[in-house]
Amino acid sequence: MVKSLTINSTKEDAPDYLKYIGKKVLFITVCAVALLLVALFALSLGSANLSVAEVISQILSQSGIAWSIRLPRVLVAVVAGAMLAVAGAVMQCILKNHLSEPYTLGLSQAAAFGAAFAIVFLGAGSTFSNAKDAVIVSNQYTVALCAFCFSLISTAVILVLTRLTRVSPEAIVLSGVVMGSVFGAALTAVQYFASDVQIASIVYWTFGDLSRITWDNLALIGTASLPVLIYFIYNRWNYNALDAGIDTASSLGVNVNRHVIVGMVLSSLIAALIVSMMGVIGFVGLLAPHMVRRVIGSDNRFVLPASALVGALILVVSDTIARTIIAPLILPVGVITSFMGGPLFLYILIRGYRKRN
Amino acid sequence: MDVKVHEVLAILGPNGAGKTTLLKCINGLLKKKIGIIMVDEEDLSKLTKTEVAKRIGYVPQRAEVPKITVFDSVLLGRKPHITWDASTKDIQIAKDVVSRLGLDALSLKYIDEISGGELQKVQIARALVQEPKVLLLDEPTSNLDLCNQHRIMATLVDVVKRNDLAAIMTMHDLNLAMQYSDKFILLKEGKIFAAGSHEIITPKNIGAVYNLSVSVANYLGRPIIIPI
Repeated sequence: MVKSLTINSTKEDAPDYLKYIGKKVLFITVCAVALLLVALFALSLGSANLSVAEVISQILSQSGIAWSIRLPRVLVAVVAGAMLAVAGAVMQCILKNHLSEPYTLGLSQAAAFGAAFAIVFLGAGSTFSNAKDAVIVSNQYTVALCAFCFSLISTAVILVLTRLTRVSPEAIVLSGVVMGSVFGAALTAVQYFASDVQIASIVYWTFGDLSRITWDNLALIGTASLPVLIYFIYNRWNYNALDAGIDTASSLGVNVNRHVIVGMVLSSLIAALIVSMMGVIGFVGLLAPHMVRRVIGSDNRFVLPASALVGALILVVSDTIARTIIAPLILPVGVITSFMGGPLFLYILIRGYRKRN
Repeated sequence: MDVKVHEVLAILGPNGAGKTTLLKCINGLLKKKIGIIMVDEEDLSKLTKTEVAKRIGYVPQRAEVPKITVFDSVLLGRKPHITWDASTKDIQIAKDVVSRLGLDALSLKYIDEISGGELQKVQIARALVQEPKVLLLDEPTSNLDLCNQHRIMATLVDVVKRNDLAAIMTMHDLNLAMQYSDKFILLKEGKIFAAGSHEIITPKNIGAVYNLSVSVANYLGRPIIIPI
């Protein structure tokens, strides 16, 4: 016992640490306020521009375009952005790889294949012939479950590679690229058996798009995401221990294998749910945690909630840009996030290479 | 093998003798095949990982350096005692240890900005805030310059002597081990070749374990090993 270690304790130290913690809490508060303001702004923008007062009025009266069309879209962008970011932050921690996120590891592509498979072969979608809503998902649970099952395959490959062979971070991402290519090819094969209308929808889907979101989708993704988010935040100390090294984490009582496996499975679940409803949205899980770590460091007590807010912010902003940049045409949101995330991915890759050499 | 409170035990042996493996078996990081490890008459194999972490602090050979501050890195050692978040008591214990090891000035610096010697102190501090009964250190002075090697060892011995604590460490530097340890184990090919106090440090034992001819001189009552 270290009972006698109460030596030279200075009361002057306490304000410093509290001040330091306060800065991180302030950053999280600023992110939350920014998200609220940006969400209100996003609700006001579109084919019919509304004032913020009109937006609030329509939401309160539960009527109008702001309530029926834009609010579910913005809310799902908040939930999906937050969850992709947190999943990315957790994956980067448990795999000890700063390039990890559902998209770079091929989880999203596997889920996209699973979703397409459910629609084309399991009859989980009904076919219409009008433009981008060509496939209406009649059974979102089957689609989500199928997406989850296939994303687990990608997860298993990544886990085997990291746990058994201890390959380099770049090799893990390369294996993610391989998984992405394999499932991309499988998706193409599915299209071979699909009707013209289904093909159009699947292709559109692979870019990631929030236009098909309904309140039911929001309810499902919100219900599934909340316990996962709570689980991740509850384990923030365990993730900090894992950041300090596997031996250190084990010696601090952390069950490393359990946290790696559960973390990866839950991240796959989130990726699968999001892909089954919105398609592949890449790089949010890379962008948000890296931006946050640059500002407030790697302490997961703050990184996880801050990443959630920044991820939500990124997706809401990206979707607003996608809706308005070439209005009345709407770009898929995945295009915008990829334009932002791609350069960052290359930067991290080059920085990691320079560090080792 | 038996270590008492206030004692420092050095595990010595050539590369591949099993020093780190033995340390990891004690800590439960590796599963042992035979034997019982007891702390205060409690069989560690019957305790949960968290319970073991409250009794044994471990300082690994290589530290990973995430972008967190010295204080947060030390506070992380309270993990086995934390349920939801660090309490005022946890923070106070971390502060006391940070002060005790002279890390006050660095406490809000990121650990990727401090020197190797300071980082080693941070690792020892983290293990200490676990409030363990036994401290395990895997080559605590590797990659440190001469000055920092002695500073770290002096700090370690001071901490062990002042608290109800025992330390077990693996060492490559025999003379450093002679200066700061009370007991020794000579490991050869995974087995204990000799165990005891300074009296086991003989040219014959060292020669047999390291496959090297040495002469053992005496300086201020402790052996000095000189390769021939």
